[in-house]
Amino acid sequence: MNGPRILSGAGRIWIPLLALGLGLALSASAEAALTYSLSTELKKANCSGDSDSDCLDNAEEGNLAWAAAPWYFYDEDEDCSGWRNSFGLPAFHFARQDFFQVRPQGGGISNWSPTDGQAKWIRLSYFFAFPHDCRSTVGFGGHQGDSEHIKLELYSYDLKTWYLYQAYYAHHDRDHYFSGTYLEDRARSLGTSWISVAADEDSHGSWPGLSADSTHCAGSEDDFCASTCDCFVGTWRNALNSGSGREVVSASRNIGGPWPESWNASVLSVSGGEAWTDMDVGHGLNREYWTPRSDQYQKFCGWECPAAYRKTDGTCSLSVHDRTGCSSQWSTKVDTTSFSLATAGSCAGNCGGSSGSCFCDAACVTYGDCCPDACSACGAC
Amino acid sequence: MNAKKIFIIPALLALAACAGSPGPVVVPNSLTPGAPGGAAFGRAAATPAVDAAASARAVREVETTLPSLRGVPPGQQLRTLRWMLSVGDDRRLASLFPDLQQDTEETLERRGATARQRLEDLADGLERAGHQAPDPEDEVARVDPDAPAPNYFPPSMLLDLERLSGGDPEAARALEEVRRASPRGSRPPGR
Repeated sequence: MNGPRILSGAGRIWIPLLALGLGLALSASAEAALTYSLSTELKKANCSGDSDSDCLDNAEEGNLAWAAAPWYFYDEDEDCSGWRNSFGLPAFHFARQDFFQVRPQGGGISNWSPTDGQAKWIRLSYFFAFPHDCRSTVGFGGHQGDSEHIKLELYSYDLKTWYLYQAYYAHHDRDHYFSGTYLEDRARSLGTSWISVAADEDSHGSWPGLSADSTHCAGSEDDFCASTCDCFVGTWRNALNSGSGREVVSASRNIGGPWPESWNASVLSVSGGEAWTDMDVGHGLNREYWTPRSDQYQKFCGWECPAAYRKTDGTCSLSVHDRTGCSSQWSTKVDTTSFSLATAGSCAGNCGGSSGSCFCDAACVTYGDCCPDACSACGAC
Repeated sequence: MNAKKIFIIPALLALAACAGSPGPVVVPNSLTPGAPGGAAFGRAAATPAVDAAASARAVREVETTLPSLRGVPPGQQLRTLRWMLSVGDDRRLASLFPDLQQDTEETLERRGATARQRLEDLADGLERAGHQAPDPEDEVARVDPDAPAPNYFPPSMLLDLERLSGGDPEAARALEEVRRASPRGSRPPGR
């Protein structure tokens, strides 16, 4: 019975320490998260079902985008959307056009397996393309076209169950980071399993909301308007329950993406490395590009500006709904993060960054995590 | 007293070992998507023969109504429809149909009910043609109170958070977590 006696003495010290360690380990290893489950794996054996060169099953890309699609809220002063406009025009003139993109993160995508024990990552981007922004606040004038977006980062072990880890909400050409915990907490307090995107105070941006019973767009992130901005008709909870100014983002148009993905030619027009969308929102069939441009298409005019009126700086010489300016280039909103179907990607075009599961920056030499061509492509030797 | 402590320590050690494991226990999915199966099926145990003509009609109806399911095998279409119908909030279903999505005259609740009926009709058509699919294993969306933490972060995420973390305390906290789980120079787990 020596054993028990020895343990009896040591136990007084070890049991609380073990319990503490266990508690810390558990608190670090599990957290509440907004969770989206597919009926089959997002990535299948031999990349079956993939048509945009990212090895992910396109049908499940669409299903995941639908499963995680945010609620969308307009402010009570909104007068420039499909929900409401102050011009007395049919809704399609101003209706938000939703698109999405699903892009894997990291390397070895073709080896992803539901049993490999590794967290696999995707970035899910939602694009909210408005034909027009009617804002008339001094210093924040409206414009033709308004391209907004958010990016969600989700991970999965089994490729069917996806957990929301974090999100980037973009507004007025700036990104703000919000943790999955922040978003889960707000969704739960509203009694829903989905995140929200609030358009803005009398305008279009993308905000996550502050708290269920307030009307604020976010916390300190929207302090530029001295806490006068509000994003909901009444409170957030009221807007969700009453339905006033509330929609669900559509996930029917998957754009694919730039290399190493390919653009989805069944949704966009694609030719010679260019991708664009033609649309008639009441001003004729006009064009906006998803790929970078340095000509008259270098801004996003919301399909309001006919080709003949587009100026070399991307703005419009024709006034449409009292505006000639256009918003920032659409292509800058597209996810271009490098990924690799093989474990190690190539540093070509990725110097200072990463490719697949390896790095292309100067520090990779110290850490020993350089991609095979980091030296030849980027001088990281 | 001593015997109890002997029991407690191994139990704590076993729990601690579980807490430090890299990820959740993964049970391979033995069902081929869309293929008829056994115990997991919530409907008829016997596999009826597929009526080719009825199947073609039902598939055409699905592909016309939901273009995202074009080219997807009928069993998988049925599985997806059943999965969609498992969503806990019918208002979400309206966004699957452009006409319901754009109809601002009707409430989202009414549009959601219409969408559910359409999905059920599509699923019934496939079932009547002889196709089967397992019931969904999980709800489409939920809050998981015990989501396993990620045991790996891709390099692109680390670099993105490094860029943001200077002026954003939330991003800085996330960066710490990324560096802890995936320190530079380490290989992804299982590779």
